[in-house]
Amino acid sequence: MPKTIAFILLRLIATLLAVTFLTFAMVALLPGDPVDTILGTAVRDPAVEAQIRDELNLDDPFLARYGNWLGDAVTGDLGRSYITSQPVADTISQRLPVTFQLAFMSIFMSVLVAIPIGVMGAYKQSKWQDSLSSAGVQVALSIPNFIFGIFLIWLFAVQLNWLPASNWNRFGDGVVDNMRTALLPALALALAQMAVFSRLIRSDMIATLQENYILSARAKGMSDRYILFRHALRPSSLSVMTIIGISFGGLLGGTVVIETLFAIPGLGFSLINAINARDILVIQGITVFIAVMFVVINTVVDLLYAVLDPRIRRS
Amino acid sequence: MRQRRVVTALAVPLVLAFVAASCGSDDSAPVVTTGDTTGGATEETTAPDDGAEVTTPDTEVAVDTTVAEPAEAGVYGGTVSMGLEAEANGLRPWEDGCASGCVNMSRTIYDPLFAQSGAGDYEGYLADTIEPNEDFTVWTMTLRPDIVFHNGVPLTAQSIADMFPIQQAGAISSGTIATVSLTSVEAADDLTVVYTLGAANSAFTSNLANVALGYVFEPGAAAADPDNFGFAPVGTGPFTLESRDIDNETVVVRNPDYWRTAENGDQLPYLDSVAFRPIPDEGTRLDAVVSGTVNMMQTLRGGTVRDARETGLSMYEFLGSGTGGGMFNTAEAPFDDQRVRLGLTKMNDQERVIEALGNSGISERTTQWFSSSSPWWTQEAADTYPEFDFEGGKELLQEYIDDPARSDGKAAGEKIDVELSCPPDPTLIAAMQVIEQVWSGSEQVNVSLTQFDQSTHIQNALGDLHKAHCWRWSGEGDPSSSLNPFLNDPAESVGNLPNFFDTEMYGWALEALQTDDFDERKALYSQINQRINEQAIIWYSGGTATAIVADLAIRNVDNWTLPSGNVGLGAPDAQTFFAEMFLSDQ
Repeated sequence: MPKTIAFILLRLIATLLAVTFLTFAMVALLPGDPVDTILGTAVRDPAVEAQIRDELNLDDPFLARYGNWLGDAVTGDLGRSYITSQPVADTISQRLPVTFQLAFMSIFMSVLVAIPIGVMGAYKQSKWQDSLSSAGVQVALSIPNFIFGIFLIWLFAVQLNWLPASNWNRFGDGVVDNMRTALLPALALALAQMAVFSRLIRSDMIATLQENYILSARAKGMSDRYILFRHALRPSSLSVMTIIGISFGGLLGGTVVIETLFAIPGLGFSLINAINARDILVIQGITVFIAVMFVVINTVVDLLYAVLDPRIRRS
Repeated sequence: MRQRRVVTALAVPLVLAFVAASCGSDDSAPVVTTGDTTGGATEETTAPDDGAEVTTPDTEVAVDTTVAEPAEAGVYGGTVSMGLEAEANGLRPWEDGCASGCVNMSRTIYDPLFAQSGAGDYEGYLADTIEPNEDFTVWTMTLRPDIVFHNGVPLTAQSIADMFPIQQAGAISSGTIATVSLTSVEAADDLTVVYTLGAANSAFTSNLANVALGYVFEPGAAAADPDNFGFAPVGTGPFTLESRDIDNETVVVRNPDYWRTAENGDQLPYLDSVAFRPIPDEGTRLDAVVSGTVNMMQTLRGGTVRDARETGLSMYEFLGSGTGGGMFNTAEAPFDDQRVRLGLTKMNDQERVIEALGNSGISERTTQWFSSSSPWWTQEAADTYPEFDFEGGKELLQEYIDDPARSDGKAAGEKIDVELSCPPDPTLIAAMQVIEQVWSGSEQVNVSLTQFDQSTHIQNALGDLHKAHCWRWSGEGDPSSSLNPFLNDPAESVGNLPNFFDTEMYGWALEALQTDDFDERKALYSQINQRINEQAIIWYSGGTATAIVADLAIRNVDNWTLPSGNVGLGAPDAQTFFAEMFLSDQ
């Protein structure tokens, strides 16, 4: 066990070093100068311009700047946004719960719908139910989530007035109010994932249903429902578990479009604003955080394999 | 059987939702829209529930000082939530760049020293009077008495003097200070402030209406914690900051000790609170106000103005001197040659571009830095802007193409290469395609279209990486604030984006700051506009329409008044004041 933990930690450190270095390099390669973003097109006082350059170490060589940032970051100081003047750690801590909730809700909704559709597709393989669900999945996959989001706003906010069109009520303001603002963006994010999850469950389930122990269970007269959900579903969930882990990590930084569309103050929205403003410290902070979350989530998924499949646990 | 139930369970809510959607919409809001849209002039008349007529200012004539106040008493209480096009960078006037959304927010917390009246001139707000010396290098301003900051500190002349060192070191204010050569700010007595400039500036007052120099903050609090001042701002404004959740919601609540009263003696402000919510997507922002998620919004896009007109909500449009179009980087071949610039401008059909931008019936053809409703507009300048003349443009381009000494280094007879760049906004892309079709149609030009996000687009211009480039100019302020940086030597001014420096033209701009004679100044700006047109440094794509779209119950959206009782400028750039705004109970 200590060996495993050491390996995970080493992997985490190597990943973070690579991610931070590459992000720093990519931001440095972006056209333009952060000073231009701060000062805009106004006439400049050279003294103030020099002061900003000095404060941001913009005239230092690339490696020196990266080294400075890394030195501060390992002590927990991620710096302060030079656009909003908010500490980067505060930016992340305010936005993480929002994106985390969106990601969790969208995954939860996807799984909730994908399991019955996937199981039904496998159970009724090549029958009309399977064809219908396959067609539905194709449609879901081919609709970009922001288009679906626009449709949801039109339907549930503009036409029906059931849910708000945008913005975010924080959990502390009331669960119901929070859910009202979270539902539509989570649903928009869930559509394509639901399609992918149901396809994976279907294909894994088809293979599982041909296993000897399933035939044996059938021979014992167990009901189809019992076999499907008690014996076949768990071993058919390994692939989808992997994808859920990857999707969850991906959603932490990949909800940019939906967060922008619904004006949700999550990590993605913050990240894209920071990129547009060349707000290096915020970009670095959020990227590092997403990388950490990715590694942690993948590790959790690895551990979950063992829970789901006794063969992996024994090996 | 079981599967059928599942399918039914999924389908029923969706079908019900569709049925409800088709039955539930209510587009029957009591709004009458009348519009003379043929010439860009637009007048919107809304009929609120009480039948009283609220007429927004004529949007072509930027300001209508005869706008009647609604004959309705102000009502205390309630919250207005406003959807903004973008989050405010910060709320520190000296440090944080402040675009349209930020100005709205800032006006709840801070008061300006001066503001523009409906007639377009500058009247005192926190300031009572201002007088220049003979050569416009010393300005003596008196403040209104008995005004206190949110933290109880009285506003005195020393407050303004103490703001100065903070402003000098500020990323934003320092630029304005350098532009106007402001060298010192001193308190002569409790309420008298003396501004000393290093160069004549007859339009200095206009700078005291801007966020960078004119929005008054409590210098003691700012000096004590400059980094966090944006999260605990202290001004003299009608509201105080309650919460600031960046990118989500900023809430300001009534300042019970606000110094202003309404004309009828009502203590201002009327509203309990204002919530600002950044909603960057134009469509979602409009949907948010239509669905009641917010009850007011701003837009700076003609296409959204057009869509909002269909919603039945109150429209407060403003088509002032803001203008869109593009510019040539004259430091780059072939745009360093006037024949190319003029030829391409002649081949640019402005009416078709306005149509592509979705601005037909909303904005009008532009010929100079000012719209035809501006007091600075002149016929002489209008006459020099190139008319659409495809063949005439081709002739000029052919002359350059056949020139063996052409500046782009290509052989005589070869096509010209033009890179045209705009931000990836759908309407801008459509406009860009119209221009590209015409230029390419000449068979003299290879046009490549590029798109960069807004920030990169600006960065490219500032870094001189641009060629032919979309841009927006001008505004309602004094012409010197937008024109002077544009005309100054590019070695000294990043604001000279086309990199075209004409010492004579810049001399006229400086001369206009040495007199306060309006006619003399107008003549000088007319000369400048004529030179810009002759040199074809920029092309115009019509005025830029902006609007505030509001719930029918909201009153006093754009007919705010100055402390003198005069009507203010309205809502240029979708910016307004909130002290007199209220929610009607009728």
